[in-house]
Amino acid sequence: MRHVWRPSRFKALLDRFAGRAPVPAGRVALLERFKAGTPAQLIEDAGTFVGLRSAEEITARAEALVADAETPPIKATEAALLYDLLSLEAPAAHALAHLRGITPMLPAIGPAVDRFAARLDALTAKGVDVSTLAFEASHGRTALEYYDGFVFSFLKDGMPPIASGGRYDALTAVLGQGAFIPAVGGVIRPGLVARLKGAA
Amino acid sequence: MIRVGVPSKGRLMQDCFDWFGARGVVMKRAGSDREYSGVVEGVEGVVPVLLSAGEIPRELAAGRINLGVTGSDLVREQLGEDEVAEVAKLGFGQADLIIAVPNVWIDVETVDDLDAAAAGFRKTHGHRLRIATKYHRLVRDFLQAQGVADYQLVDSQGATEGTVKNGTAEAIADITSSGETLRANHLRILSDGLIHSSQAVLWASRVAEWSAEDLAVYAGLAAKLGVLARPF
Repeated sequence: MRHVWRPSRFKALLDRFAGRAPVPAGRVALLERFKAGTPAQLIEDAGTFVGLRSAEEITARAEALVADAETPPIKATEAALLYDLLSLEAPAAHALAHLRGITPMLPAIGPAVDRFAARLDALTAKGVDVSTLAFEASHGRTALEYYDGFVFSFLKDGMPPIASGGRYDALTAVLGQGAFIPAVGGVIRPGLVARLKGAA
Repeated sequence: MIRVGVPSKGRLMQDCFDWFGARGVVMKRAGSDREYSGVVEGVEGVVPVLLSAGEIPRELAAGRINLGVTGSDLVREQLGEDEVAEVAKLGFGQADLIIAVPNVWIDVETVDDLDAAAAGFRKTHGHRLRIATKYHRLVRDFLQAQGVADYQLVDSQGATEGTVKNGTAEAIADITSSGETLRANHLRILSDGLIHSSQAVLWASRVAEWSAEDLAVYAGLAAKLGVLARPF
């Protein structure tokens, strides 16, 4: 899941799990090597043990890689829905209708779609026209790594984002060692705001 | 008068003198073997400045020398594009900056595997996987471009291959010209772990003053060396 914030890696992984891309050469070589013996034997044969990363950790990952290789690919229909989900770009109200449409086939997204609907209702109550508000399912995935929910940017053609931010609830859970508070934040770039106001 | 920083000793100095010499620019150390000054024959207005190869990037950045010969690894690590321009690759002093991990990591073959191992390591040990290096910028740029996040760099200015055995790092990023030291320290290079292929390069300082006379001297030198007639 950590790859969701690295779109090119996430897409490569999805392509592989969906059987659309071949297994990379490095992984093929590893799997081939694993056939020569148990992880414990292979570690033994590799010579002097150095470093903090233990034989148990190495063995656990080696076994996970073998299990992974034996797992059948994601069903084509499910993979197609995931690609569709990641590339969704539409006015917010339209996007919600689309997400409602695919939720029966991808029940896991149901709660997130409900929260999205509630957020659009709240925006509407504040006078924002969600039928024209731009929405992208993949927005912010390259730059806003610690955000883990709703993210936003205020954009103007030919300028860097004027403001951006969102929810980062997981961050407080990590820093709080389990104790958690909802968190939302963002930045506004005053220089850009001044330039826009000057131009107006 | 243009000042050219050249390595002051060893194989690198000899290779450098040979490269210039083969193009009709004869560099020599002046006086005795122990005296760090030099002379140039074959072209007017060029003064060699003998320096430790490691100090040449700093002198280029300060503009105290107009030109300098040193490894691309050092310059790419320490300087930006606005400080120096590459004049010519000299074809010697080759060495690769690579990432190596313990040979017993039978589950790690590529940078992709390192990323997964690093994420697992952090969960188990409560701190990030440590990579020992002196090339902080090059290593960070490389790993960032590959999307590797759960690591930290620990500074190691020498004997870097020993840090894993000594328990101060889990992996290393270092210059290697053979691979024997790595093997002797039970390490193995990742199959796609080449960060930078270094070699000796002639650099021009963008910071140094270049008067009209300097540029004329440079053009004369460049004609002999077979490089572009302007430094940048």
